[in-house]
Amino acid sequence: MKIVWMKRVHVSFNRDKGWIRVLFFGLGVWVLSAAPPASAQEVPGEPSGREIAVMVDEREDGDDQISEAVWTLTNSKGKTRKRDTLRYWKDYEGRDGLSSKSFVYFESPPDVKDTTFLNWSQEDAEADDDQWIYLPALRKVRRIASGDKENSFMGSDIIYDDMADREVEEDTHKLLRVEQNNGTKFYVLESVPIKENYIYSKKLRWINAENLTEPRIEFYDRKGRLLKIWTTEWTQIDGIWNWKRTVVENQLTGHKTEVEFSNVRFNQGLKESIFTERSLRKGAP
Amino acid sequence: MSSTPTRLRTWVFGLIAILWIGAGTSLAQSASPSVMRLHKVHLTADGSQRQVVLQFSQAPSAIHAFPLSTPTRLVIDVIGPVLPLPSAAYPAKDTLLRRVRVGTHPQHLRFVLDLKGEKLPAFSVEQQGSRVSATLQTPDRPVPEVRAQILFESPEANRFAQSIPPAPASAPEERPAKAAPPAPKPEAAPAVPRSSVASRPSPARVAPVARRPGREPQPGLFETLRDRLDVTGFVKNETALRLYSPHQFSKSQNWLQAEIEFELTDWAELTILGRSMFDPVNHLETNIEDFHTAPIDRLEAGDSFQAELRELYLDVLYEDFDIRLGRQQIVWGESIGLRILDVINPQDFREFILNDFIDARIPLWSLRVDYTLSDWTFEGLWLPDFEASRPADQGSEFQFRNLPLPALPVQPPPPFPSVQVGSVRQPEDWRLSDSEVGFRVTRFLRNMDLSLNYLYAWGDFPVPFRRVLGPNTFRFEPRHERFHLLGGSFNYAFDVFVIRGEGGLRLGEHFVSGDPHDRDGIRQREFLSYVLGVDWTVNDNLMANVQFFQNVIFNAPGALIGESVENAVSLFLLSDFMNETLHPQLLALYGINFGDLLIRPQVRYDFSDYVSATIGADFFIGSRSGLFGQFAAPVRTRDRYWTGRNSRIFLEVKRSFAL
Repeated sequence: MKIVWMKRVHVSFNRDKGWIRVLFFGLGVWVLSAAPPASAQEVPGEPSGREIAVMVDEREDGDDQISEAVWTLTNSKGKTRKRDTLRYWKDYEGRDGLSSKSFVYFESPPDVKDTTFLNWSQEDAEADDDQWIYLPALRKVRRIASGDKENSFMGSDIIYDDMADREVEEDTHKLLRVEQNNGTKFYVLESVPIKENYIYSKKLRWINAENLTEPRIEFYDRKGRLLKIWTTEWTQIDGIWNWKRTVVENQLTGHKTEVEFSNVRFNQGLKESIFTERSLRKGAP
Repeated sequence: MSSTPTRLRTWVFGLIAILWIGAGTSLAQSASPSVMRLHKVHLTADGSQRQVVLQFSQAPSAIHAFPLSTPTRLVIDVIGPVLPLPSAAYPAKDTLLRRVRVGTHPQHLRFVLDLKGEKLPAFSVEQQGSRVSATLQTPDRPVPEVRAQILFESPEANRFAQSIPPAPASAPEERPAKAAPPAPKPEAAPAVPRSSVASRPSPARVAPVARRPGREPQPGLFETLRDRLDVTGFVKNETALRLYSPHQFSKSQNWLQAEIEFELTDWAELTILGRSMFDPVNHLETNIEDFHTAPIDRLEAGDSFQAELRELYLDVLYEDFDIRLGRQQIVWGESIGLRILDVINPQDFREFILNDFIDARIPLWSLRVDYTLSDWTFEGLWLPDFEASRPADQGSEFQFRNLPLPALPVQPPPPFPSVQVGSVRQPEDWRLSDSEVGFRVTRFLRNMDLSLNYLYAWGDFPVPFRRVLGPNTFRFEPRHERFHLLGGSFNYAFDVFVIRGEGGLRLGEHFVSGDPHDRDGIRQREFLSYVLGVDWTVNDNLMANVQFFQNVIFNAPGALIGESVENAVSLFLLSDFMNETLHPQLLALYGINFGDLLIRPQVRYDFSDYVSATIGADFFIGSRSGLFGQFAAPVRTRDRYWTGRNSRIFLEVKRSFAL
């Protein structure tokens, strides 16, 4: 875990090459080495918040994945919209500067059928993802801007930032308490962003101590209000924990997003050609 | 064009033959005895031992088994010429075995035995001819006695019943009382084709017992057909009402459009898109006489009804090649609402540029081949079919009013020259030398999508060549002419912006001369069109696009009719509100040279995922000399003043469907 963290610091150091960075890096190493174990400051006998966050971050998620999903968007008046999607995802693990690539094909309803969406997620959290969408009504692939991470994905309560790979180092993590629920032990973690004026002021995360899944996350907005609650049922497929059903409820607007996953397959050896503009025009591989 | 019907028939028959062969191949696979079919899944019990028997129509070529934990499972891959099965689960009434699930992979069937308990029992899997049996042994815990069960049995299994050995347990077999319910698909299920993904196993399809042995269709035949067929479409009404005299309906079109996608194989798909229109208010073939009569006077089915095969093409995907063959639309370019590189298909201008490009483009019989090599994509086009763009009929509502003709070297007297107009000469369909070809290379480089384009094509409008037959006697001989188009496009994304542009240089484009002494009234010039624009994602609900557009005719000596440099700008706003059900949008196009304007506000409301209504308006404003203004100012036509004032409001109601 520490090796991973050091590697990230090293990457940052190489990128900036400033003497101030060198100084801060040295100070950081000194502070960390001199600091008492974090667990001693949080819940005795339990890993520190940061250690838990690293463990969650390193939870196995496969090299690639295919999944089907039904998105149900419900507004405060109970009116619903549905989207059936087929998603391909591939982990790039920093190769070509990319964290991952994903390809989403919209199967229904008819007015969005054959729409495809391609995302190249950058390893650098500060960099914008590359995104394209194919609109069958135009018969054109269009590049779309991804700079605003607060934009909703498909009109849902999930924003692009939620879908991005967030680095452990972007937040400070504190283990608030340990809870027992139906015989299962949960860590309750508070993750506060280091960057000021980030989309969320904090997240409260319930983490299953046994398998490191997150069945519940509470998101607090910039003003500290509870913005949305994200609950997830997990299932293990081929030894990998994955979402089975997830519900995101916006506490301020009453809007709700439910995503039901099915036919999830891991490590299918997905070709890189799936994640290209060419695939956008072709439709689902 | 005279040979078009024959050629069309050839194409249609060719494609039908391919469809037939493809469908026949895939269906033959379903019915072929050489395909390995699952006949029976059988559970037997003997004390603490369980045996799951998989009976096939023929011997698998190999089997591969491995256990998985959390939850405890035993996976058996049965390799052979697979008949695709809908993913299904067959529950067992057992203390050890929860259920057996099955899914199809390209080269094998995967069976997953979901077991109860956290500990995997000792197991063995073996094959005896067409039978695969998995034996589970749990010596360390007592297992209650259970009865043998048939978890699945195909109708054909009865014919093979003799080949299944008797159950080792003495308990009688128990058949489930009713069909198994739909069940989750097995993990690591196959990468099923797109059309089959949406289909969920129905109870009938996973029924463990045959209902009418011997009378069922071939297993998988109907399912295969259904899974491979995808039908979508819509019905809609588009009604437009003129804002100026005469206050009458500009149109009331009733559409039925259906698209059929049929997956022939894993690498070939056929698409058919048909459209029919019925317009009781206005002739689809408009002309001024009809337009001036009472609104509801067109009961002739021939004038009010149209049916059209819009697209019919075969997609073949072979490794790095994508081939699309048939009647299709081919779209190049980056711009919104403007066509610079998007000139491969001619356009229907019967409603000027007011209908969507996807409806206005005239599909052509053509071949498109894409080849991907690393980061590069190479695209080649061959278009042996020719159709001209279709202007609105003479005298109709959207007849072009600013089409230039060559000046005439008239010598008085007499004051009125004699002018003849010849028929339009156009290239011959399907003649190799008259074909159109195009190439495109695209690449994503340094955060930019780049393309280079080349098109060798025919002009979509005839060039009105002039001949002088004698003193004050002239003849226009319109004919289509070739041009070379060199172009390119790019986009670059940063933050919340995307800068995009496209340009095309036409070599040897033909222009009408205003010089009456010009030899044929036509001059060839180089012609550049380009557009630069930016998308701005303002927030979650609003996207804005601004574009600057310019046409430049090089070396225009002033003798050409029309502007040598034309400038225009556009604004496009698109937004979503109310759970993405309300979609206001605005498109404004402004011709700088003449100060004319087309403004198109509209709002769409989605009553559901399948029903929507759109209300909007098309406003033409400005000088009649401009592209848009020509439909704004009153124009005197046949002693009536109305034809220029084409501003209108419209309502569209649409119901989509998927079968």
